[in-house]
Amino acid sequence: MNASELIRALEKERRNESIPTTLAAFDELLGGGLPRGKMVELIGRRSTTRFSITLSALAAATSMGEAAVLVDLGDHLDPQLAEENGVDLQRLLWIRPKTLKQAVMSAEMIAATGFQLVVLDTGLHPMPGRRVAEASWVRLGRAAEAHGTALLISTPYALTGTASEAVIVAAKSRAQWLGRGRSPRVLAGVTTELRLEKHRHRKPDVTTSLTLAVLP
Amino acid sequence: MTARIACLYVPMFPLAARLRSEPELLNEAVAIIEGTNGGGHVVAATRRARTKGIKPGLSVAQARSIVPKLIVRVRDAECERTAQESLVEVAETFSPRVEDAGAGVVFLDVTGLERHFPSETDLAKAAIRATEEVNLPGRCGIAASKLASRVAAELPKSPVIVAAGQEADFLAPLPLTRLTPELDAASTLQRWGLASIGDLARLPEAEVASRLGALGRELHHAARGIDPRPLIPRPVPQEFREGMELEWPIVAVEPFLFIASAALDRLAKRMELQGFACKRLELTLMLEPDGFYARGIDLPAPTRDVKTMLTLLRLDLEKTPPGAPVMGFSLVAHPDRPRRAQLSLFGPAALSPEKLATTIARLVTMLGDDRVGMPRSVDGYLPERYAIGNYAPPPPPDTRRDPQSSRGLMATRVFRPPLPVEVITRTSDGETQIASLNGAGDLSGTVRICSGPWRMESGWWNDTPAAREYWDVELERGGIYRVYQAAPSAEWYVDARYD
Repeated sequence: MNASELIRALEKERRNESIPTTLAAFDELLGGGLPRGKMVELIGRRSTTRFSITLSALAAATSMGEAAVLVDLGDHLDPQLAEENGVDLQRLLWIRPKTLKQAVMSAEMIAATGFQLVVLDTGLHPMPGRRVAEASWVRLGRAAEAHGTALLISTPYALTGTASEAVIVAAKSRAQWLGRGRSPRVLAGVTTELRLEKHRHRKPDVTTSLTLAVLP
Repeated sequence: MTARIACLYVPMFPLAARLRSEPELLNEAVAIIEGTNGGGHVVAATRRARTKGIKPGLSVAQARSIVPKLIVRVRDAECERTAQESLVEVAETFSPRVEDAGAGVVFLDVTGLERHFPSETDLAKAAIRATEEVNLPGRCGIAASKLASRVAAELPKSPVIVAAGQEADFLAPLPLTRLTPELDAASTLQRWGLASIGDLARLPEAEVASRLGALGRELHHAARGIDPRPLIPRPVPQEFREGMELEWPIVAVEPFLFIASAALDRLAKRMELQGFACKRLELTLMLEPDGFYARGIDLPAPTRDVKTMLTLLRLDLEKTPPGAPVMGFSLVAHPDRPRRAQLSLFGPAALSPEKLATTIARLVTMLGDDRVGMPRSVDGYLPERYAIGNYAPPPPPDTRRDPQSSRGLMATRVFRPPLPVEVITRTSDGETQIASLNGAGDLSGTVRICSGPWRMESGWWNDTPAAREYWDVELERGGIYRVYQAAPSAEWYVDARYD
């Protein structure tokens, strides 16, 4: 076996691996993290830790030395906060499309370039540009599969239809406050319930609880 | 080792250069003229025109009387220059020592290339094929001197190889016009009764020199195959240029881009031959009646992708139109080495720099140059602050790393710009509390719990001071927001959502 054959074999092996978000509650649902070559949809409405999970995924991937992409439809990224969360900004490509169609096209282009993690965050409800054809999601999923890219779609409502490998719904978020009565109150954290709604190879309807702190 | 010099020659160069830019004219009756369209004379014509009787020297009126539907094109210096550059670049793919002899003639030092080609004939055939690939009809001759190789290349049956030391024998049967076609002395020599180069070579050198001077001596040397002129290699080019003068002025972007696309395609092929990619593209438009319009486009990274360059060109022209009809154009590509990716056995796979550059350029053309890049943190206190720079990731590590454990922190979605909201406050026990929000979309509802205020001041030392009182607010219907009241306007905004 020569070096190029060895590299190809190693790349093939890497396809079977996952990129962990290092959030145990989330990774547990997917069996270890975001699978390479697959599309995972994360659905959640107000304050359901959706953006925190995407930042954790980006932080984990960039800390492994992988180049990662955030397609940020709502222009919501705070670079300072992302850096505090452990994202290596030098390895992060930030794309700020204006419509959903542009966002999907950008993600498809980027997946074909060889990035190992692409996160598409569609922002808030209602998203600009509304829906795109379901075929676009199928094509995006195929692009991810062809290039071994782990693809995370973070959205306030279901978008990808049958194209995704797994769908996780974040709901029932509950804020935790410190201080009672007359004493000053401080937002301490948020607890959310994560439910595996669909998975092609795992049993759905599994639920975990994710707690994130506001203060370090 | 005897030096071997090859000559690449393009017959009827003004015509060949024009047809390279307008290949659709190849099968038409076309004449290239020198001078103005009314008073010029024909310098070259296509085979179809020649078979109908069009030959060099005819005036345009004479040519049109023979072939009324003759397509006439004035010699285009820009076309010829780019065709010549293209020919030189073809030669440079065979040898690093190349001399640009102008007007469709290039000499290249092929000494030692026998290791790469079975014979000199194969080498010459490969050079002809490479010339034809850049849409120029090529001929090739190989000899020990520039003169002999040029004469060999000009012969119609190409390639012609002249063995070392056989230059005089090769030249001897050829007519004197082959030696120096433009020489006035040719008629004098014909009056002497000399018909071939061999006839001249057989005359005593001193006698020829005494009658024709230094020119006669040089001519006699040439006839004997002696050419002491060395090959003078040209320096590495700093830029690649393509362009042409248009027959009719263009006033719309689309027709211009159609022509520019072909020019960019030729540029990309030429850069590929040299292993370069385009880092900066410069466009110069010749405007009617006179004037120039120059633009420079910096590409995000070196690329040879024609579609990307064309889209950038389109965006630039749409943003700043030239404002007058276009009579001609030139495109200059500043070359750079494309970046190569290093494969890794144990670390993460590196991105292909060329692929990345092309993708980023396409994204920039689709979204705008301030919407794609590397996020950068900025010193300050305002949460909506950000900076974006060129994306140039460091190389991946040599070995695989484990991911760093998450800090388990809640993130905020920043709203840029902050969203205005109406706030109803209430006061109980001397403390101000937020009772409800009234804003667009989800930003409305009764407040379940709030905490604050936290005061923030920024920029009091410059022209854009900001003083805010921040609150964290949880709505009854769900959603935790960061709300602030700006001073001195006392207006309320939501600048982020915990998410």
